[in-house]
Amino acid sequence: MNRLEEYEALLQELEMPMPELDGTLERAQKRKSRRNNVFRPVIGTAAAFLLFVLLVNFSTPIAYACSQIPVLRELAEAVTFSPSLSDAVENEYVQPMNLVQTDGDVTAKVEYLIVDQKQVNVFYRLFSDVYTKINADPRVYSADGTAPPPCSYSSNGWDEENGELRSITIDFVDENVPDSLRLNLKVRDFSMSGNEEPLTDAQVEEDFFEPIGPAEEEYIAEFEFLLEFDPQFTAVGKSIEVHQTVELDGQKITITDVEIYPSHLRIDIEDDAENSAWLTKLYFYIETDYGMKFEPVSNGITATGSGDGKSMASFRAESTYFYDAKHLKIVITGAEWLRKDMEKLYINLKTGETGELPEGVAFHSAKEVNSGWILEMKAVQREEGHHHQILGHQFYDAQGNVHDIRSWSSTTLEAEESEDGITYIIEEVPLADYHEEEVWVEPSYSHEWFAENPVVVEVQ
Amino acid sequence: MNHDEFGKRIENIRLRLYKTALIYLGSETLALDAVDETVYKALCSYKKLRQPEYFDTWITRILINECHNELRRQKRFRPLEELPETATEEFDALPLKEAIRRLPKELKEVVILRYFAGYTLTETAESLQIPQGTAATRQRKALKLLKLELGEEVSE
Repeated sequence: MNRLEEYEALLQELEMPMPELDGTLERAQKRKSRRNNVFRPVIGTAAAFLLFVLLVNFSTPIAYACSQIPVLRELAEAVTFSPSLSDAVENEYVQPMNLVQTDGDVTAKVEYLIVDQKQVNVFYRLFSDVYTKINADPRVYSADGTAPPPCSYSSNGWDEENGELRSITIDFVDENVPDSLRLNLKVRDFSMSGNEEPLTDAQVEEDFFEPIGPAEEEYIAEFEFLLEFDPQFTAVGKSIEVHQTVELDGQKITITDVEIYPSHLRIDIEDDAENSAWLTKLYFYIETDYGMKFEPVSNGITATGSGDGKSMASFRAESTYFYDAKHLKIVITGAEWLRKDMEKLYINLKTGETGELPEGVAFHSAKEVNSGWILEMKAVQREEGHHHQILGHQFYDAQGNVHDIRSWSSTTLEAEESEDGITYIIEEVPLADYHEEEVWVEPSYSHEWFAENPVVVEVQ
Repeated sequence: MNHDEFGKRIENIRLRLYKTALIYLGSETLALDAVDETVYKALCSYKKLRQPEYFDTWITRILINECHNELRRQKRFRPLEELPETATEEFDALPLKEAIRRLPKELKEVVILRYFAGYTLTETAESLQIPQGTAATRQRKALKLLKLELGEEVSE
């Protein structure tokens, strides 16, 4: 066979049908839908620590419930991630704003606030005729601009198109929302001309280590809005004393108060110093006297700690605020604990050898890159679409020096892809500027416990 | 570009991407994986494309990168040495498929895109981000090494 005949044969070989090629787009879509956002809480001076849950798929029933109020319809669609905010919109518990600023080729417009005693949700849009893909990095300051207030904030709507509604949630743990706040938005251009090199895997990995944000010169516009809150909204919220002690899994906890705000409900807890485990999660729901059920917050901050121990001091549920209930029942069905002798977990990043692992958790992989290690742990998925947190906010070296974990990324390993047919979540964390072989991380929990009969606490 | 347009573009180009990857990697499974990875990466960032007319060359570039990455991975286990341009006798002795795979990287890219995936010289140059003249020179060198007498039109 001469070269030309070989060439013809090779072309024929390439024409062999490959039916799997038809499904390439579907596979990519499925994989993309599994990829969660990287969660990077920006924590102000609050001493508390936060526990979060990421929800993959939102449900959208409230978008239809609000269709009779045209002005708020779009807002209703923007808050489907939170049943409490959806209720707020449906009850027109919204402070309209009309703050517009233009800087160069970008215009920013703050349109609505949903604010109560403990939380501010800012709804805004970005417009540009020049840039096709832009995003804002938010920063929150006190009204006089001198200091960051004691809050944490997170941004939603990273993938929104120009002109679509985006939101920022500003959350106050112990302090109350002040009369006003200053919101700074620095806008970055994410559009590409088509001539750029695609990001390499190494660049994507390095990017994971940069929770602080880009260099100043990369911003194309900057805005600063003074958000003045209507006092009738910032005063909204009430606290009910409970002071009831219950025993769960041999550990004693006291429910001290229930706080009810339009944006969420809090159950405040103190644990007994004699307990052998920290309470890291409470499985519960709230039932009203009309038999309505309110679930724990399923996306965003689900609990906050006091900083005095590893126990969570306050758990969050969807709000009963708009339902005017006279009696509430807290129905506890289980708990998640962190044994006090399992606060640190040893991992050899090179060999994968570990100390005693939490239930259902395994080492997945570790990869050293220029900026440090990327550690992946896997855990059996507890509920379809939900990603729970496996590792805490800090890690330690052999000398006991403490380092911070500033971002988490979570993906799903589907049952059909895993070796044992079980669906896992894989949590990826960057160990920044760390190049040692051994590390000690903080597991978020050691085990779960489920009550044979639910424990009920009555709240008047 | 909206999602529907993206879907249509993928439908139009996927076979071309697959052929490129197949010649590059020599395995149907690896080629399909490379196309899957490419389509996934494109899906994650196509909205950032300011000029959709560059879509084909942009996605081809992603694919070429994927193929390089895969070859780098394979090298760890199964070294496949590139032959230098001076090794004319060795090229002659190899079957065409093997000879292409052992071409220097720069020549291999051009010959695969031009003669197996059906890209024009202009598209090949754009995909590889090299001047058209450079693409033409590499094409000529590659064909000479492969002893393959095919059309070499430089402008289309």
